[in-house]
Amino acid sequence: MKTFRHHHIILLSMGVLLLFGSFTHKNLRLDARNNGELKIHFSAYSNQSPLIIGKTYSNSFQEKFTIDRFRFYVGGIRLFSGDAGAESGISADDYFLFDLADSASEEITISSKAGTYNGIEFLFGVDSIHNTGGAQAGALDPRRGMFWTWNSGYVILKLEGTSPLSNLPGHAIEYHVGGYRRPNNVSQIVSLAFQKGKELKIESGMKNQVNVHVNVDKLFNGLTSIHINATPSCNTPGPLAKMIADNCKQMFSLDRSIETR
Amino acid sequence: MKILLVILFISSAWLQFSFLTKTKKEDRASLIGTPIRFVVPKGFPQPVYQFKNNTLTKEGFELGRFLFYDGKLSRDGNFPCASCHQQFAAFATFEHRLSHGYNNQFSYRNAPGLFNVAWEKELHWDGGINHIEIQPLAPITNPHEMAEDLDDIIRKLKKDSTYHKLFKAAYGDPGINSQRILRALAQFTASLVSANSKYDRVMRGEDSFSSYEQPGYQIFQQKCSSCHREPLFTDLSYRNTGISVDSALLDYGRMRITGNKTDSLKFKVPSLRNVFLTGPYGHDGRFPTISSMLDHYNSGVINSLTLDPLLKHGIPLSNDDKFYLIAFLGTLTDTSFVNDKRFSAPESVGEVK
Ligand code: HEC
Ligand code: HEC
Repeated sequence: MKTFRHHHIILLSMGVLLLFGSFTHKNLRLDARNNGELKIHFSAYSNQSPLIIGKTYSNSFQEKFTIDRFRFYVGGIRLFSGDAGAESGISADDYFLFDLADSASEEITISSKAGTYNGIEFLFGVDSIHNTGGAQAGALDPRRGMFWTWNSGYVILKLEGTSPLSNLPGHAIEYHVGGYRRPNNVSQIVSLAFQKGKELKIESGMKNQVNVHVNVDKLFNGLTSIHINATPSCNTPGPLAKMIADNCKQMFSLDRSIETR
Repeated sequence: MKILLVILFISSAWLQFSFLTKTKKEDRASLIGTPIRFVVPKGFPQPVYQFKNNTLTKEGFELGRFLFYDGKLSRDGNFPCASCHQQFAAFATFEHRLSHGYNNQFSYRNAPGLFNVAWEKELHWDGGINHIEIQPLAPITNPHEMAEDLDDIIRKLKKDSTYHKLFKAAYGDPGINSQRILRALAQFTASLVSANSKYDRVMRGEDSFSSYEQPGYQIFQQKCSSCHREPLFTDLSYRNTGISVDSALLDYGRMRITGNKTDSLKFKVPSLRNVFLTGPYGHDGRFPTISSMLDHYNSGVINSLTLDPLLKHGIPLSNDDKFYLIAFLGTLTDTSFVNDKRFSAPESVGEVK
């Protein structure tokens, strides 16, 4: 008889939990009707000059370089707010690959719960679950050329080009930043706050746009100085990749304006 | 009351389920068809690869088998997976130190046999590959091996009506993408289970060791099984067995992956199952025979900072020891595995080419 009761309690609690689970899911879906649309637009620069493939720039150390390729991963985008609970995000499984060669990749559109938000947060890189989870699709498709095949793992950022200061064949510069193993896990959360008084207000049916400025100069001139003449490339996970990634984390800043339409 | 609870439970579970099926769009990438049960051999631990999001099916496995034997996965059509992984050699390359690849080049390492791969957390001699599903990317994109890229492979497969049928049978629609290709290949490679050697039959009480094999087994347990641990005959660790570095290959093994000096010259302990079929031996195939490998343990071990402590004094082996050991290692050959038709080239692979 006693075990019988136990059964009841277990069943009841599981049932309630599951039911509750389905309702909360439902709520999220119902809420979709109260959602506003948010576009997040990434634009690449070298300091204040818009980045264009084939054009020559100077980094903060007056080293000239030209870019052929610039790509990086962003995932798990979410908006956060001062009020506990008021946050909105997209599935942590969703990744985006920014590619300077593909203007369509500069923009991410998410649907967000109505509310007032203090800032935006995203993972710069790819989390270890997706690094070790086998064959992925979408932005993480290994076809995208952002996967190391002999030492498995995603390259979270690729900057390739040339510089007269590089001592590599063809004066190439090649920064492939990746690695998910501690202590050299390169992926990290970037958190950008809107200016006080300029919080992002999302209302249902409204379209908003947030502009994220991506300054490649920070790759060189960040927490650690990376000089092209000394370090023209990075091709493996490790301390150098980590150092460059820590620099790159600072590439991101919010453009002043939040556009609302 | 109880019935009510059960109904509540079932209906809410159904609600939950129906929600999940609606939202998880990528589930459409999963396999349809006839499920196959993956049987864990008696005495084996649970495999690392659990076919998560890649339910093992007859059709998925069959697609994987076609891909494994198809030259289209290589640039010039001559180097399917099976060109280096030959079934009669337990899916190693028969009698080759290094394997032939694209444009008269050689692979960097000796091709290991492929069996019980589902139990390996990390693949390749240096453990650089972290998942069985993405392993094929390494040989496919390696310019010395298959020298191909995924876009090209997808393009070639899309033109082939056989694959139209095979992908449709496996996934419900004929769409081809890298994830489907890789998961199907994993269905095949993970299914290569070898656990029916004489050794296994003895362990199951169906057979007994000969008077040579029995002492060989005892020596093995004393001197070898701390690394070549039963029942997989590897503990999957990385060890330096006192092998010198090849001056042309400059292969420092595990250090290439971790960047740690302490991993210099460490290689993954290979399984010794089917070892009679997988020669030559060692990560670069430098040992032509098993007895030359045993001579190494007996008298060839080179001391260095990262040498495995178990081998500080080598492994003294008398001629008798070697004789018995080799007799025992012969019991690890699994003829039913190398003759298993399920793993052989599909009849129509010629057509597919
Ligand atoms: C040119 C020869 C060659 C081809 C073609 C080839 N391989 Fe291999 N394979 C090797 C070599 C050599 C290794 C060892 C690599 C290493 O350790 O660095 C290996 C290792 C492996 C392993 C890891 C085994 C283990 O226990 O660590 C698997 C699995 C595998 N190959 C599957 C495949 C598949 C699937 C294909 C086709 C997509 C393929 N191979 C094509 C030569 C080849
Ligand atoms: C300290 C761990 C260790 C011990 C003890 C050990 N081995 Fe090994 N064995 C290895 C490693 C690691 C390799 C791969 C070596 C390489 O290529 O660098 C290997 C390779 C082999 C190979 C070649 C297999 C192949 O497919 O290439 C054979 C055969 C072998 N060992 C037999 C034995 C025997 C028999 C004993 C006992 C007398 C033994 N080993 C003891 C670690 C060990």
